[in-house]
Amino acid sequence: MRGFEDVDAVAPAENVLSEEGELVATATERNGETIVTLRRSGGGKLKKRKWTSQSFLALFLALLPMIGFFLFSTAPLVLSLIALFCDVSIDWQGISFSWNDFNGFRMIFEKDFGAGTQFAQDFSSIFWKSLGITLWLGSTQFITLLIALGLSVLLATKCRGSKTFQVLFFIPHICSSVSVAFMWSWMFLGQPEGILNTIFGTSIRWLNNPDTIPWTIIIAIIWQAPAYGTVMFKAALANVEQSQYEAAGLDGANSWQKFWYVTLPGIMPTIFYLLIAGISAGLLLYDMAALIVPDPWGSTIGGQDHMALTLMRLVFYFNEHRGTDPVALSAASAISWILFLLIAPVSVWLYSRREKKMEG
Amino acid sequence: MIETTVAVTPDRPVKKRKKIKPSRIVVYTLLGLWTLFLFVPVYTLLVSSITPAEEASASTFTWFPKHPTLQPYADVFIHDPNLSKIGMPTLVYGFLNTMWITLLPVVVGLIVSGLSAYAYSKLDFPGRRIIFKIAFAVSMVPLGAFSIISYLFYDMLGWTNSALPLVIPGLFGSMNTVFFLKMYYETVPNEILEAARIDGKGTFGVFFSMLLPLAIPAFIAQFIFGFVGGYNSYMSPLLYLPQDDASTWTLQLALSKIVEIFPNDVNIRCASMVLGMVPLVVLYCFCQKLFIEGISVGGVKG
Repeated sequence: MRGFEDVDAVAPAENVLSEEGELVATATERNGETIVTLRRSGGGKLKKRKWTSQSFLALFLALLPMIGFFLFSTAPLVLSLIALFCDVSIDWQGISFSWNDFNGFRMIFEKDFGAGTQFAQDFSSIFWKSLGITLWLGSTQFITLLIALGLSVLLATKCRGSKTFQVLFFIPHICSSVSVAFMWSWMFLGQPEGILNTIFGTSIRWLNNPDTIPWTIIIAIIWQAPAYGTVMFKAALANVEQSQYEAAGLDGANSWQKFWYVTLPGIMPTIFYLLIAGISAGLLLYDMAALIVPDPWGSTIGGQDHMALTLMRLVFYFNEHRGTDPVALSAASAISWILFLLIAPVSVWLYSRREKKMEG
Repeated sequence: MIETTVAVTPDRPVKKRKKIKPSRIVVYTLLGLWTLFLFVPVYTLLVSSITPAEEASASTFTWFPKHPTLQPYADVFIHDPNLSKIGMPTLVYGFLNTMWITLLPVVVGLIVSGLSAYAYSKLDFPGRRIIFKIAFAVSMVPLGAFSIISYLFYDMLGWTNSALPLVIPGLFGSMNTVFFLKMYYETVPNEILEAARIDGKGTFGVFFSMLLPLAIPAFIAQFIFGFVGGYNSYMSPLLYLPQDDASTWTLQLALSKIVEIFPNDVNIRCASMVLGMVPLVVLYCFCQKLFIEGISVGGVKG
């Protein structure tokens, strides 16, 4: 789209015809005149741009994903916004709303509120604990990023067999969280009392001890998550200009300085992207925590001392028990919105970066 | 011939004679350690799946079973308690369910996204630029936090306890795919499409006969990205599929309930898990390059 101003200013209509159709269309639109299409079979036949069946079809095709987005992303969002402030009940008669006096927020922030509901449990302390656990487990993403960076730098040394290593290192990414969680539960629990214990000669009861529960999830994440980052970093490293290294070499930079002043700036966009994706994935962690430390019937939510209770699990819990008390859905909504507000600023930042890139 | 070899060889021995640098040793050690870390859990899973029950009950973990057996892999299908209830082993049912629940939205969504990107980049309609900008901005909003609370919406529609919430939204494609494909389309010269148009092809004809074949690498990349995600997804099936009807479960949902299906047989459980991983790993072995490209490129880079 660049350069249409030049066309606009200089080229008379006849000359423009030989240019791309897009350019003309944009140029004339800017002047507020009737718009010209060039994509006609004759080529160069001037036509007033108006709503033809062709442009309707194009608009329809263009909008299809947006229609899906509004139906299945925006509508649930609006409904959850309503559920924040209203008790929602859905039955065969339909859906009804009644003002709930901020019960959703009170459920997770007010100390004595939860005891008065059908849950008969104080959820404010659980919520704060869960927030802490989420941040703790989510911070694994930083370690993941560092490991991925380290591995990709190692792979980039192009040592013999680095291709094979790269192929191997990617495999965890295509494993499902169900199988990874099973595999690691097996490592922590397997006969007779945990394979890890057999290897290291310890006797830690990984999944029964509040202190070790978070580590089981962290280890499983560290097994799986760096795979994606490694591939992304590997691609980014390959794109750093070789000439820059040579220039730095001529300036007498050692390999550490080369890494610091050439490599790191070169892969910064990838670091940012992975960081943002990681923060979002970390805050929305559900699968691994729920699979490694499940809730057996009647036990504490999220394992002993709620040590594996991420916020998404709490939302899931409330949603699952929406029949117990109407406040459950409001509380689930409230937590969802809190999570959204934690993630959104980061994404807005990513958006502004990406928009620059799309236009530039 | 001999002379030419002589002329070429001097380069090579020099390289080979280079001493192995200490830094290389560090590199290999670290790479090896990571490989070991990745490999050990997989090995324990594999070895547990071929260990006969008598050996597994020993007091220590059986690293090398004396009489390895493939029987557990058969038992997954034969001894499934759901077999009589739903007519097929849970995993087979799960695999078939996963296939249609994943492939339908991925393939249809991909074509829809492809057509949408085609409209944005190669067709003309009033307000194209501004609509694209709005679509871009709107789709940047991270809505992952609402994935569970969306249940309320599908409950209102009466779609819960069915696969509809897993399939229908995907049929509309996704804006991220549109951005990716649009960027790829920009590399396709308009003249080619113009030529097809002059040949008398309509809007769809140009897309399916020219643009789609030219952009097939981009489509494959997006397909793999979507397929791997769908095959492995766990939370949405857990949320929406009826928990008491094993014939509706996806493969991952069935695998997550494997302890309930085989409460007493550790090796059958491990075998099920291995079987669940096999399809993607085999696919990956045959086309690693496509996988790696697809996945690194599928999440549009920032």
